Order: sequence, then structure tokens, then C-alpha cells
Amino acid sequence: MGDKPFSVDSYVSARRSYGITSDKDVTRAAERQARATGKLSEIVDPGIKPMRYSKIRLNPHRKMWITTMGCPMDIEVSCDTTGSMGGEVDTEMKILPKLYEAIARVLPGYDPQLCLGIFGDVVDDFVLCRPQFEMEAEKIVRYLKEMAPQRAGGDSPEDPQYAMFARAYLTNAYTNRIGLKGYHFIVTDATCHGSIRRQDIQRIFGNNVFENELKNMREIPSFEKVIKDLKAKTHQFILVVDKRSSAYEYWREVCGKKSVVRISTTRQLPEVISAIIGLTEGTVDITDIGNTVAYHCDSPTIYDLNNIEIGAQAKLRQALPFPIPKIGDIFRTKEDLWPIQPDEKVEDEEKPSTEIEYL
Amino acid sequence: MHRFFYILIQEGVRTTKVRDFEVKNRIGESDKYRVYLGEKADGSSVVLKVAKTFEDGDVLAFEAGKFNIMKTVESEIRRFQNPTKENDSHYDWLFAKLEASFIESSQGGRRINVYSLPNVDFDKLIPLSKLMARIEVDAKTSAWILGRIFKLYGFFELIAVANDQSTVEYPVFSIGDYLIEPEKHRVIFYNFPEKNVDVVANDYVKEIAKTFLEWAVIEEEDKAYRELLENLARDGSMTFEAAHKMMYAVIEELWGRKYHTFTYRDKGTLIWKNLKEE
Repeated sequence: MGDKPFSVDSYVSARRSYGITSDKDVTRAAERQARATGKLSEIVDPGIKPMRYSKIRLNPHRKMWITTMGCPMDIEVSCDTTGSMGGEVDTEMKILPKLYEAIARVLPGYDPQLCLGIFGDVVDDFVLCRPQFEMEAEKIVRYLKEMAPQRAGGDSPEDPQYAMFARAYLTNAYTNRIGLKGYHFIVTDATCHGSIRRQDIQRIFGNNVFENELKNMREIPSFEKVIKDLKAKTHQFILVVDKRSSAYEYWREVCGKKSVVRISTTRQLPEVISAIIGLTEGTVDITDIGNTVAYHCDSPTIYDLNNIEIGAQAKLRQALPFPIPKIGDIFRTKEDLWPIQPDEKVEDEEKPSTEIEYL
Repeated sequence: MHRFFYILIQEGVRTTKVRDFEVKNRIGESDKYRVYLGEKADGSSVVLKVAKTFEDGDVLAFEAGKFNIMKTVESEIRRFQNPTKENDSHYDWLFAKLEASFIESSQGGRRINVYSLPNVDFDKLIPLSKLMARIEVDAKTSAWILGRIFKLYGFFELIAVANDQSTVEYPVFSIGDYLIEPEKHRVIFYNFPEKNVDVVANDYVKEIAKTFLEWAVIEEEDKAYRELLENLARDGSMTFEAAHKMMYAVIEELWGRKYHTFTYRDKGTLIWKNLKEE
């Protein structure tokens, strides 16, 4: 699967090769194409092969498989592109290197894999753009430029519930298979219609989705059930832009107070998303938030960050039967869940150091 | 040192290094964590709460978030108001200052919270719960303690305003969550309970006023203070900021704003004592 890390050089090079010379209207061509054909580019169309995958990167190694980039961590961000948020793909494209770098810094030993999508309203022609989880700059730049934001959105509540639905039921992530959770962010300035309808699911994810990917789904889940199932698989957050209290209070009611963080602008996404992940993973000390995020964000953002469930992923990691896979670990087959465990090493790690007094 | 100035569970001093902190003797514990005295690299004293198990770290993680909000808002207020020595509201003296919160791999992945208590003599700290169990206090002594608690709860109202919250998250009041430093008139909130009362306009003032009404011995000459507490305990439907103001109006009129030595008597006795005489 490769061992290419994300780099600023590869990002710049990808932008150049795709002809993206400006920070504005990076999706203009894709939007025009979508309007003309009535179809999304297949790399962002959730209706074509709707499953999304976040896998561990393995290369062949002496008839077995070697981990090239550590444990994958799936991070999905679905951004509102209705009304005033219509240009958010431009922002995502612009902040991408900073976002990736900030996330990688708080996820040592992991292979961050990004699915940066967008959503609109069910009245739009395209309700959702959802790419695969990717970790290479070239692929992320490519899928971002293929998005087709509708920039309309009908009435004020929007429809991010289908992005949440997609992560809950149409994603195969290594994190979930081993007992960890990925991350899911909805970025919006609006409330949500919250209705999940069969015909909308088919329109967005393809007519055959109930025969194939969702064949075990016996009934259409309620919005509450979607959120519950999403929370079982991800550390789920709503980032409310513009601090409009109606949207903020609405999402706190629907998703819980620990899951909603206000931001002033989507330009803050690198700092805020990395702070959330760092606090959840336990790699960031909450007392450092003031020094790192405070410079970029105002008081309500800091307040909400202090209220999230600190250390939630660390708790899950502690419960795993083995340490998370790292670069160089060997898998017998590509389908194995865990790499080969050096028994003697495991024993060593379980023994507390004799030099340290246990408090 | 007076006999009630002990919160220390003396186990003999030992020293363990955790990150930049020297951990010394254990001074207390709850069902979820143990509390130790310690020192920072610069020699200043800190209190460390160490979760008993990995899972118990959740309580400390929650508490870290809450204390960090308090610290952040206090420093914001300080930054904007730039107070002088005379007009410093010193909200920072009302609660433990979170220095660090981390998962310590050398301690089985258990969470450790580290707090400093600025401008406090650690040897003279005692939990309010222990004071209330053992002694009674005179009206003036009860008034400064209650005044600090109202001020703290008023600070939670400020936090809500500063963060555009439509409701105030008041921690549930528990006398076990406060340390008293009688000489410096310090009341320090140092345990953040997981439960909170999330209300728009509260009548939570009542419960706290009632606790102090029952504890203080209020003589006839101080009956204005008794009436205040009775009123608050009966009809506490106001903000803590309002209750705090109301209380200090009565105090000013009764006694003026003067330092009052901690005055108490052991429960079941009639002899008053104060720290000055001991």
C-alpha cells in the first residue's frame, strides 16, 4: 500500500500538477462538470462504491507483510458548504498542510488518514461529497478539487446527518476493528433537519446500497440511533462556526455537551482539530491548550475544548490486548488484525520498572 | 501549630520523581485518587492527585478541564482589567491552580493532576468538612468563609458570561471540596465534583446559606447577619453575585471591613478561642 508520508513538497507539487494556482474557486471546474453532467466525480461520489476504508499500510516482506507507516487513524471532516459556507473547500485546500502537520504532531506513531468531505441540504442536487480516507498529499489535493459544493442549501437547517450515517454504517476502519475509535467532525453554522429517509439514502449512496453494503440494515435508523452508532465508532464532534447560539445549543442537546466546540472561522481547524485529538489521545496536556490554541482562538473555543472527554482514546488504547502496530511490525497475512507479537517483549513491557516507586 | 491543623496522613516522608515533580508524603485520598504533597523544580509546593486506577483517571481528566477553564478565565480577567494591588479581585486565590494533567506511563498509565495553591501556607490548610465536624465558629469567622464561597460561585457566573453560555454550570456544593487557611482568610476550592447544577436562575444560594446558618454561632448583637442568612436560606432566588453583594452590605454595616482572627469553639463547649491567643 505504500510508504509515502504527507509532505508540504508533495502538496505544492500536487497543486501545481492539478493547475491549482489560486486559493479561490479550486472546485470551479468540478462544479461546472457536475452541473453539466448531473454527476459527481467518482472519487468524491458517495453513490459509487460507497464504502470508505482506512487500512493499515503494509508492504510485502519475506512472504509476509511489514507495516510501513504505523497504525492508521481515520479522521473524517465533513464541512457545511451551504450559504455563507459555500467556499469552505477553498479553505480546506489552503489549510491542508497545516492541518495534516498539526494532526500528525499529536498522533505520534499513527498514520493519519484524512477523509475531508462536504455536505449540503437534501434539496440540493448533491447532498454529500465523500472521498476515501487518504494520507498522501497528491490524493487529498485531487479529491478536494473534485468536490462540487452546491452553495445553496434551501432553508437554514442542513443535512449533515447523512455524513454521520456514512461514517456509522459505510466505513471500514482498522481503528474500529482493533477496538479504538476514529475521529468524526461536522463543521457547520446551522442546525440539522435530522430526518433519515430511505429514498435519500438511496439517492446519496446509490440505488443498490440496501442490497449490498447495507444488506443487514433491517430498518432505517433514527437520527438518535445514527449518532449513537457513530459515537460507538468515533470520537464525534460538531464544530459550530460563528457561535450562533441556536446551532450551538441545538447540537449540544443532540450530541451532548462534550461533543460540541465553537470556532470563529474554519481557518482555525488545524489548531482546534489537533487540540481535540491531542486531548482525546492524551498526547496534549490540557494546561498547554492556553499556550497553543489560545493564540488562534477566543475564549468560547477554549471553554469548549476544556469540556471534551479528555483521554477517551487513551482509555481505549489501554484496554487493547497488544500495543498498537508500529512501523516495522510484521503481519503474517494482510487480513490479520494484529502483527506478530514478540512474546518476550510483551512480557518485558508488562513488568513495571523496579526503579520507580508506584504511588 | 494548633491541633486541628492537620490534614496530613503521616506515612513518613518519601520522595519519588514524576516528570518534573518531586512527590512527597500522602496527605489524603478519595475513592478515586490519592493526594500527595510535592515540589516543582523551582522548589515551590504543589499538590498531586494520582488516580488509583487507570479508569479512575476519568475523574481527574474531567476535573482538569474544569479547573483549566477557571484558570483561563481568571487570567483573561486579569489581562483585561490589569488590576492594581488595591483593586485586585483575586479570583485566583479561590481555587487550586492546575499546573499539569497527564497520563503517566511509569504509574501504569494513571492520570496525575498537579495543582499549586498560590500564597498559601500548606501546613495550615484544613478541609472545611473537618472544621465543620469539630468546631463551631463565630459570626465574623463564618462570614468571611461564606463570603469567599459566594464569590467563588459568582465566578462561575462570570465564566458563563465570558464564554457565551446561556446557563451557568455551578458545581454541586460540598463542604469536602474546600480547604481553609484560617490565618490568611483563604478558602480554596480544590475538588471539582462530577455533578453540577446547570441552571439559568438558581435558588442554589439557599442550600449554602442554610449550611452556614446551622454552623455559625450568631450572638444577638450580630442578628442582622443571622437575618441575612435566614433570608437567603428561605428565598435564595438570586445570582451568587447578588448574594455576595447583599452579604457584604450587611457585613460593612455590622463590622466594617476589618481583619478578624479566626474565632471558634470546640463542639459541645462554651469557651471561645482564637488563633491569636494560641
